[in-house]
Amino acid sequence: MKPQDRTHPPLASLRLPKLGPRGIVLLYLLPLAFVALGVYAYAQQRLHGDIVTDMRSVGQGGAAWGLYIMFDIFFVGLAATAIAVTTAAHLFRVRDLRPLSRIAEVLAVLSLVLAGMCVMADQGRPLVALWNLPHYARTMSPFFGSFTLIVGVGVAASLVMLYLGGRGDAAWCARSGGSARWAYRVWASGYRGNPRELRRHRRARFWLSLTLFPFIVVAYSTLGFVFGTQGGRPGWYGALRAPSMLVVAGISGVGVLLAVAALLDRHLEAKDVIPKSAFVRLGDVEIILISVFLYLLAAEALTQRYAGHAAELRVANAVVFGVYAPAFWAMIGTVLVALVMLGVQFLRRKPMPALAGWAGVLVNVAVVLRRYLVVVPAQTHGHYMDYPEGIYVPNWIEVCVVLGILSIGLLVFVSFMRWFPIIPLHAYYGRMRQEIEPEPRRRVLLRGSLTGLTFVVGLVLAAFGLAMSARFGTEPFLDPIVPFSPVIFIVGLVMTIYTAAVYVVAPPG
Amino acid sequence: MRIVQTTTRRSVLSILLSGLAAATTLVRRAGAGLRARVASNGGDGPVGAGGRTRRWGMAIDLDVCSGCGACVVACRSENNVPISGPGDACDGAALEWMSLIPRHQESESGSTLPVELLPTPCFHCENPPCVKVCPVNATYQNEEGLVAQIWDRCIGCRYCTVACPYSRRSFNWTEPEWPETYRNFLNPDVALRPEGVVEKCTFCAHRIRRVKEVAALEEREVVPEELEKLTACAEACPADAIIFGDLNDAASRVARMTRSPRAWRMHEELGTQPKVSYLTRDRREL
Repeated sequence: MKPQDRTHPPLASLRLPKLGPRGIVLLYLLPLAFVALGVYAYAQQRLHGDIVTDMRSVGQGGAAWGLYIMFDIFFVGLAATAIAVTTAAHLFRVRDLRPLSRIAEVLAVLSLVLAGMCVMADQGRPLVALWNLPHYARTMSPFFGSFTLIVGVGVAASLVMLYLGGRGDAAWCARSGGSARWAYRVWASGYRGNPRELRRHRRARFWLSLTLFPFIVVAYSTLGFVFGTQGGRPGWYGALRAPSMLVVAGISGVGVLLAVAALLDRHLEAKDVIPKSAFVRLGDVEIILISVFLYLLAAEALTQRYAGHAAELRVANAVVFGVYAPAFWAMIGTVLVALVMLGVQFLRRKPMPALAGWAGVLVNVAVVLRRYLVVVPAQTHGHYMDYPEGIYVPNWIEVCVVLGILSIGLLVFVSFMRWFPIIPLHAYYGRMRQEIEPEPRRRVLLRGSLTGLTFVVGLVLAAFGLAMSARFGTEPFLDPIVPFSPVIFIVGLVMTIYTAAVYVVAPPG
Repeated sequence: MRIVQTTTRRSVLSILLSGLAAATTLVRRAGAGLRARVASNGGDGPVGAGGRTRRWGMAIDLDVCSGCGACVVACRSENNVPISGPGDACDGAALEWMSLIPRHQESESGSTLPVELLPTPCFHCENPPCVKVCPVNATYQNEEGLVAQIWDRCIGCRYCTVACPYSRRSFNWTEPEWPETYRNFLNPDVALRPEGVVEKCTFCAHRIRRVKEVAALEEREVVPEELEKLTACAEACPADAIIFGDLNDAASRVARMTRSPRAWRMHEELGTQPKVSYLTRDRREL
């Protein structure tokens, strides 16, 4: 039975059911304790300086970037894949994945916020960073891309996708009453669900997906370039860094989706709301991604070993045979176990949600190890000079801060699932077949003008902000010509993305 | 009521392309305008004798360097670099602007022994990777080729420290502590850096500024002789191994040393074009 042929199950059954004592401890109390611990640890870091972490100076046997940057990349990768899945569901009309689109949208928003928190935890002067980044951000720095495109535009894009996808369901929730009715009504923002509105929604999401798909590749690649463009850091420098990180991000995101989908498949009151075929489809995608990752890993290792500079070889040896070997072989082992688990599902052509879910968890363990192996060994062993080698292992301060950040994400995600249907009702709507009554000319013109205006103003602002930040035609190593140009650039891009929401919402009717 | 055709994908595409074309035109015009503005200013590089733009550089003769460490101590004192004890050094949190980096050699028994100490300041690369990566322009290359740092603007992201191939940047992992007795000896010409910022050698930029100001007051050119021992490390070197000066002044001692067949630069293959040259009879790079 295709999803669109079904009548949708009761609204309450699509939310996370009321938690029992064990659920409350696991999903609320434990995360809250970790948040408190994280706040305490971060307070220590701010009071006594970054010396309380285990990060140390490069060249003195330490790593200046550690657990925070690892999880920044991890979360951004997760968000990139989550956006990719939800856009693929609309762009390529993958109906099996539509029930998972809201999970992906919420994951995308949350992951980017958590990534921002990780970056801020890493800054030596976070408050100065909050002021100086929007003020002076330079396009020459690979950080510019991650700061503007990923954090600024990524959050905006994910929010628009979530908003558009949830409008209909919010209207449904508003009708069902409850204390949070006003919030549902705000989200629904006058949604009526008539065929014309549904068609606008479909169009808006299609165009937004089309725009976002290449954007994800560009935005996430900038994070790869943060490492790959560093010619002076053996172990990082290489053209494969960005594509390799993109593939690992895919593995991580699909893995999380598999794990969350498997959990919901088991615990939601409404049974079979997640098509079993989604597990097979995502599992197959995961197999392909893992295979590509292993291929890239082998290609990278062969290049380093066959023709690598002595310094490159030192990093490679530390990873494969040296102090980082336990992490490396644990990563390989975990990935292979996950591959075998998903292979069983693939060969039997039978959906196995629990098995796929566990494979999703395992690949994410491997991905965290991979992030560690990318970020750290190049700093402790990747020297052209005769510096001492060392090892970096995060200490309790860093672990507690990251656990606190993860717990914030978990708390928000669980609360959202309790409040709002995590499986979108629109997954049950078929394609509208009935005749759509044409709109009056005045309304069409008004909507067209507002949409066009938002889009053009957004594009102009983005171009202006970029030109002023990049100082085209002048010295690139100077401040932006107009202060806060990076903010103008972000606002422009966000406006361009919000065009989709304007097209759908204004004018009502 | 008149019925109209609603928006099609084709019309959306045409709007999109028109917008892109408009944006491209705007960017090109903005660039052209700025180029014209800069050209009309005629460039503002500071000039030395003979109308040349200055390019500060250093030459270190390792054949005469005894590795005494006077340069390290002088630099620390001149630039208010907080004292690092053995604890900090072992912990990987030491702050150093000028370091003596040991070059190791494997002995017959298999152990590695330091055979030579290289005085290593920031190389003030012509193509500095640290400047490229700084997200807030806290480090930049000034008109005289110095890789300068604005302490107050640094956000402490440490991207420059991981990008520098020579690891010549130090991060203030904790608030620097100054013993009360030491406070009286702090150099008022150099700002103290707070916790959470990255710092590095400036080629004693405050001394360069002073010598130029004195020359301007006396209405004369800066002469190469007053530059040779300008930096604290060069001034303190008892063996006369460290020479500072204008690389663009072909007659200056630093330029002559840099042109010597004994001169080499650290890991030139990286394309960073360091402005510090080492001189040795045989090239023994780290």
